[in-house]
Amino acid sequence: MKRGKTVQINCCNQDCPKPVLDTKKALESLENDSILEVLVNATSSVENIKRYATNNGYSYEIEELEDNITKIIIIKGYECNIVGTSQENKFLDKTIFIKDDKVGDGELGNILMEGFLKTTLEFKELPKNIILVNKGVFLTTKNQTTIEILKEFENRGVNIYSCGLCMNFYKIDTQELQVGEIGNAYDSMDMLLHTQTTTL
Amino acid sequence: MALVQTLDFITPVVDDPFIYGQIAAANSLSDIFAMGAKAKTALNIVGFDGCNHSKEILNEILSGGLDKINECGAKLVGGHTIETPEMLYGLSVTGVINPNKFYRNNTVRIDDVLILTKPLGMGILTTAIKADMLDKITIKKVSNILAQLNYNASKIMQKYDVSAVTDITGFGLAGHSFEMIKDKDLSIKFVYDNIPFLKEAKDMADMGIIPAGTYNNKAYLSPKTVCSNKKDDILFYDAQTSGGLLISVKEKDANNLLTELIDSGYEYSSIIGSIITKKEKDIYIV
Repeated sequence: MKRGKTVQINCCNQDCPKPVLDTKKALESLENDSILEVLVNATSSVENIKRYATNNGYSYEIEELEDNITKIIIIKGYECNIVGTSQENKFLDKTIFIKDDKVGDGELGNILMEGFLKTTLEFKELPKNIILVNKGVFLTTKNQTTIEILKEFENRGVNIYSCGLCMNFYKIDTQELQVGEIGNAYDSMDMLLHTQTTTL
Repeated sequence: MALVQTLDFITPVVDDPFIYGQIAAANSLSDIFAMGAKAKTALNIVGFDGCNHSKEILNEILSGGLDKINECGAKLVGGHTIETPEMLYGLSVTGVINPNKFYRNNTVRIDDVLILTKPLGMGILTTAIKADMLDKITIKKVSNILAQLNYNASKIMQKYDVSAVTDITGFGLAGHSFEMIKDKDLSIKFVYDNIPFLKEAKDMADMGIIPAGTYNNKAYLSPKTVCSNKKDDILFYDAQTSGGLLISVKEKDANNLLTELIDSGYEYSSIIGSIITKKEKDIYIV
């Protein structure tokens, strides 16, 4: 996600309406997709800046710091949303490695695979990557249920790689890939070696 | 005959010294009118930075004050000025009253209706003036409201069956109306759409131009209050300078009193609520 610079202004110990006016001025001088952090230490300042942001279409986040200081993080722009500010924290430094279309044998294995994937979406923080190899590639090409679930992962920014060699082996055309992209051995091993890996 | 005495002073709320003088005087005299008293004499109380401001500015301020003192038939009999870094001006006023007929703020009756004689939002708007965010026309409009005496409203209300009166100042409509029913078996019901909130104040509130005093009022009074619609209620808590009278009157007299107030120049006057039997909360805004 494209992101401009982050600017911080300190409006502690200022009487109303100076903090909100300084915030307005700072936001106006910033280019789009920038982030403004405002430090204040009065309830009235927090409320006024929240009001200003809300009524002018800015999204914001509040963070309580020590010594009664509140940090208000305001996003200026359209593409950028508030989640973008903490993008680094939204994902676990993890890769899920899937080497089969089931977890264990038989029909139960299918149910478990779907259940595990679906449940993972319940967590606020998702793994950074999902790598599918061997029969795992059926999950991104043939199984409509898991394709839908994996699309949800993709929407939330998770990288999904299906093994090209494996698809070839099972005679699945690259056109049949419904979600994510085709991965290669180098990138896959890079992720498996440099992030924590969980194998399903 | 009984004596009533009051004292109040404020820092500047507008740039024009004459108008500031008028507003400060109107604000100081307001308590007298809320009691239904007649203002007799006034003393100036002045803090002035003579090193950085010319004597002419002080004269303008005092002329503005005198203009309002004269308007209600009182006499300026003296005063005292000291050097202060921040400008202060106000009056100590002595008035007379019939001890058998004067108005308190906490003697409301059940089923009385409440009439407010000036619009709300002055705390927000004077903050906006200090922040240089209002145009000249709006400043003029706000100045006129602030400088308007409650003198005539006070005279008019005495012709009707009024049980209690208060003037709306620093604690806002919320705080001063709460004082009317505190420790009584009564609550107040306000009708949101009938409360005269100035549109310009709403706009400034949306910009976050709200003084700390208004938030303090809200912090103290919102636990006693239920606002049942989803509308913004911050102006209900806005700290007023030189606010209007809040008059508790018998319902049968309300419309006549209202009409007379509007005809006498209190154009924003409105029936904003009523006194009801005690419920769980003190104040309901519907």
